Amino acid sequence: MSTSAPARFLDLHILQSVPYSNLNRDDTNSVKKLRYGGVTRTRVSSQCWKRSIRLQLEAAQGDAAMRTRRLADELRRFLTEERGWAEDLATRAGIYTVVASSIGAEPPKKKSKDKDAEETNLEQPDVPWGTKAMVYIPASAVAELAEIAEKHQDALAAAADLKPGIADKDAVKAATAVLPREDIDRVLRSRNGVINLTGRMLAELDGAAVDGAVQVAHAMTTHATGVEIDYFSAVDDITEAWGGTGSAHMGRGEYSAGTFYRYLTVDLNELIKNCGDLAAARNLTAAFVEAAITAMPHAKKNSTAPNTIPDLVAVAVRADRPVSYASAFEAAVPADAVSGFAAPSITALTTYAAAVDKLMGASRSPLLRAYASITDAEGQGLGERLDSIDDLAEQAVAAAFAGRDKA
Amino acid sequence: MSTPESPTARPGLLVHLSAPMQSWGQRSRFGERDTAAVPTRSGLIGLIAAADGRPRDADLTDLRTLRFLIRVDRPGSLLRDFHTVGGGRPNHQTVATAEGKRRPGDTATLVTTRYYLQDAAFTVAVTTAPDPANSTDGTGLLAKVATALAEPTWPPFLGRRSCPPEATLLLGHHDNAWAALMQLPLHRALDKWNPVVDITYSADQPLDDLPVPEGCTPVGEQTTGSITDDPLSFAETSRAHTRRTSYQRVIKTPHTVTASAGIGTDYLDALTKHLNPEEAATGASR
Repeated sequence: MSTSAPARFLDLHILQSVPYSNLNRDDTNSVKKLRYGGVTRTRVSSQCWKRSIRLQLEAAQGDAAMRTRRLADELRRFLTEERGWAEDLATRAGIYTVVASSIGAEPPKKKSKDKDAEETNLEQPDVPWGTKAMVYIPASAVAELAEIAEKHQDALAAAADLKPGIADKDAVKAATAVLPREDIDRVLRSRNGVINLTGRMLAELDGAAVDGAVQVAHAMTTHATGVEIDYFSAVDDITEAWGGTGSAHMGRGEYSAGTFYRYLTVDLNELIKNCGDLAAARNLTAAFVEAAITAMPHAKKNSTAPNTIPDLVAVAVRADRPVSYASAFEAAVPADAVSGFAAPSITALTTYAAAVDKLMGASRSPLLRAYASITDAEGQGLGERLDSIDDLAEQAVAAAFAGRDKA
Repeated sequence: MSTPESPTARPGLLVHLSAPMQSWGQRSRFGERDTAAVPTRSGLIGLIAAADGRPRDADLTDLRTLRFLIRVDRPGSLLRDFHTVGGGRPNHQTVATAEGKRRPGDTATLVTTRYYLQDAAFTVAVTTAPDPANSTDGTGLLAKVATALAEPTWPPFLGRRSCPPEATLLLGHHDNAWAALMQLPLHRALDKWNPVVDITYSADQPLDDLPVPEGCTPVGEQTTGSITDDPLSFAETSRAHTRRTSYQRVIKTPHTVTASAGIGTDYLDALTKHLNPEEAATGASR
């Protein structure tokens, strides 16, 4: 592979020490665990950490995405509150929009067991028609759909309400006569940064599915961990004031602590394809790298404040394939008497990265390899040491998009 | 199959599947997402198809001629993962019911249970079925698979996207892939007190002529089973699998034949030495 081959994958390897906490728990409120290399580790699921990354990314970009089946309901709200439409016309516009779309919609179903009450409910449906599948759209799509309704306001005013008893094809016929299906579908196909990164499933609408461009592994500790059971009691102030004994409440929580290895990769070709625009893909990659490094799950944040930053962040920009370094920790890292798990984990990662390079051969070495760390540890196998995470992110994105900018 | 397969060499690729977690779904429906104990044919063909950049509705005819012999380096164990959707969001952002309404607060969260194989490692010999219909020997197909795994179009994963493989995915091409597989270092720690291990081999073809190395002894007879994992199509609207027979043999293998190379970096080093004996002999290292 020549050095002129374009980068295709941006790998992030993060070592992060997290104190006594429970970032991600299971149905028994226990810390999520994983057995690896014969010992039990603490685990934080990929979906848990990815959600924190997504929320931080949405906030940073001011560009939220929305999953909903209540698009008709939201349109009614938007048209009445933001555009001053009358309630009944806004309701009709919401229902017409979802029925006219390729997703289709269903009338609200009976609510109570009393048949008479039901019918009166359905005359003035409290809950407008739900879409047949959940849509995942940029939050800004609601305003765009409202635009379409405004454009056809007169026709909507002249149209009849769709009654819940109406046959599906009659409803579709009535709705598409007033609102153009293509215009609505175009809005429902629209994407934003988060959808381009994490993907969307929507089989009902051709061309709406988006394959995600990021892959996130479950985070796990580099070493064996145990679960600490915290038995607690809550003092009853009045009992105490009266000199009595006994507590107001007793319970137990489960916690763990450790140094986590986190691995994430960006599929650059897929992201560029999803964005359809090199500059947007580049900005999104930079925002994702930033969020991936800094976002934290915040379960039990008020009782544990586990707001750490990584001990080390390493990037590898590759032209061949993404490579996880999880195996660096398959043999559990023993604690160092002075530094705990952080320094030996960095050493293990460095040694493993060098072994991977040897196995894969010089022709497959990364296009860029660099790291930043809060410790003094040297990481030869991880490439050049950079001063800050900002430098690291900047260089990684530059290397990832080098040679593409001219295209 | 009545024609006895000759015990001659099968050219093929060696592929190593190892990661903290893998999941090879077999019967998953709705809230229960299971995993098989060894990689499924549909999982392996899907891995290769995605690496080759084939969309879900692509033709799989050529890939369906691939045959997989799986060596269980470490069986791993079952991990149950509790997964929720919709928790902690404002009510209007949670998953809606079929009626388009919102669930009441206490049931707004949807729950799925996902099973994974944790701590497992497999090595797979990928070969092609003898094809009497034409004269091709599968060399072109194997080369295509090797290129796809070395430079995949989409990032590979072991059954689920959250399960990326280790660096050792593609180990290379061998003129006699079955024999090479049986000599490859085992991805497991050596138990000094018990240096003879029972290794399970699982395949989608009979294992009568498994080239059992000298010093190794088969344990019991070959066993067969049945599994519906042979993919006809991965298309979202017409996903279909057919049933096939699975074959297993257990071989008692002393450490001296297939070294238990250890785990983590130790395994990687042993593997590198095994695959590049010349370089190891010259003492090339950094």
